[in-house]
Amino acid sequence: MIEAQHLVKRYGAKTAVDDLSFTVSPGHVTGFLGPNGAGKSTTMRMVVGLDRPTSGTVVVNGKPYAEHRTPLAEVGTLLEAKAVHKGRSAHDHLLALAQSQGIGRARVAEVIDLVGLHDVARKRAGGFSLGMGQRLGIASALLGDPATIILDEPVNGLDPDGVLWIRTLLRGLAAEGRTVFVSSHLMSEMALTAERLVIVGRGRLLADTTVEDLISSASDRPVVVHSPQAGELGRLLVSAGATVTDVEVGELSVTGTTAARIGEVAAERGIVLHELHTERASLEQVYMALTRDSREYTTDEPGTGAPTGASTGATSQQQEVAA
Amino acid sequence: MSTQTSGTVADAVPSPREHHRHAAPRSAPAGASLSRAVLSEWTKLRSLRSTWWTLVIALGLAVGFAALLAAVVSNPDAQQPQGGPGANGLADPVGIALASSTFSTLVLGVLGALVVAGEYATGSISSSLMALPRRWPLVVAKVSVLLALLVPFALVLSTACLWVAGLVYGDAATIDWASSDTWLAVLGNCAYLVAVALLGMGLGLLFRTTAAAITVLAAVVFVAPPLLGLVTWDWVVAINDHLPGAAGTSLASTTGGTLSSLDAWLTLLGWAAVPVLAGALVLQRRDA
Repeated sequence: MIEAQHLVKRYGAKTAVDDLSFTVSPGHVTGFLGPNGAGKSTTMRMVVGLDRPTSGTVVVNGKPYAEHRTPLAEVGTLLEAKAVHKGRSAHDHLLALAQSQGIGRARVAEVIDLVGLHDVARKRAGGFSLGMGQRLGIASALLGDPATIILDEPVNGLDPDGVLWIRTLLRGLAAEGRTVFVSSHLMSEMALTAERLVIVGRGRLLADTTVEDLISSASDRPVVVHSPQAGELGRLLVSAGATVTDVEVGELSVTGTTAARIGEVAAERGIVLHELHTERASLEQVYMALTRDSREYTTDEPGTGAPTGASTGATSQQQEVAA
Repeated sequence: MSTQTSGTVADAVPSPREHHRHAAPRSAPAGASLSRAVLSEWTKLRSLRSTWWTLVIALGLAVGFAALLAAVVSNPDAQQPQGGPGANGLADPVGIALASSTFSTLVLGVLGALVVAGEYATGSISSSLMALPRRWPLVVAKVSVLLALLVPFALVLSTACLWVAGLVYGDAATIDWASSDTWLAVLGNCAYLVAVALLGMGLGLLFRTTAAAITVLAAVVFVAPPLLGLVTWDWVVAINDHLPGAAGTSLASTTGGTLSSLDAWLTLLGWAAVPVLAGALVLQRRDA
């Protein structure tokens, strides 16, 4: 269980984390999403006491991290890929961590086997590939058999086997009732692993929701119409107040109205329709929309040539494709 | 929840069965403590090859220079004060033998700096601080382990220097192994070596990068003395007399040096303790 309240982290004039409050509860994988530089790593570092918040508080399993008697048995953390001395073997790295907490040697052997590093455990970690480094990081995180697990971009640098392995592992850990908090800048990865999502952009909370709710929250999804008289239909819909984008010859993407209404307009004028459906927004689109809005909000990027009219992410995606 | 026995899983996709925290609780870890932190730091220090290489180099340099210096002063043409107490010809054969340690102090200072700055360079400092989030026990443990390794090592090194020098002196001088002055000088030399190692660690804590820590260390130990020696203002002379090298040389001698024995011991204590304490304070307050 992780509870963050009004976390703020400033570096000089730059605000990395801005009034961030969220709760990560046990029993499912919670994805921590945001573009690079959104403050994910800084937030995770504040959770485990590496960085001190400028203001606000964060507690893990009911206490500030530093107040736990056996921190590694409460929270297992994987931050940057190789938080290991290059000259030390994987075994000795884990042993030193275990000894600091009174964790037995047997557990060190156990986690080495668990992550599949048995054959290289006595070799110096400096020679490890990125993937092996990630596995060693996971072994460190699991060493204390912690109730809460925090992983920063764990699939970075892993081959497809490794990605699948992490996914299975995370779901298994959550199913055992652990709190699993995983950051990523890739929505596609989180869509496959996480049930809950905490989404940040420029240090601010954009959404604290479930994957399902996020998809259904995508309002104003575009309606795709295929018609041999697309031009005429388009003009009619625009005059009825909808926003219309030509996708290609004979295909329109329409927002600001419903599929039913488009069908009715077409029927009134005897326009032939070959296809009429409402797009289901993909998570990726919703995510892009959320984070794009946050960027526009904070940096005043010049307009990207998007058509006028209210445009949520899913539609602006479509329009960009058309442009 | 089932209570499967835990086993090792060698294949790529592990079963999560080993993690039944609540179903089959293993004996809970005893928790972090200072003695466990010391054990952990010992594992870290001994598991790096660089630790042992540093010691080999420090010993080799000291013994080699002891032999060289002894050979030079035993040469009849050498200009040395003659007729000192306890020596057949040279005033302070012990001091000359131990003077060879100065090169090794720098090597041990580098080891001290690496103990901390090496963790910053590789990123393993975050692992260490997550294991000991109160932080100060990490510094206490690192200091303890370095002392436990280097005090005996410095004794061996100093004794080896005397023994080798004694062999090289031949008829020119003898080392009086029965004299308490000889052993006081050995102790003083050990204090000098260990103090510079701790100075290196303190600089590592303060600067966090190996390059900066070693540069400042070399400046204090090697570069400052001859430069400050050119200035004759009283306060500059006082500073120069209280650099670690001057204090160490005063102690590692049977005839005394520029500083009184007490002054020299306190000076070394200051160089050892103040940077480490300041570094610990900074570590406590700064983001990792």
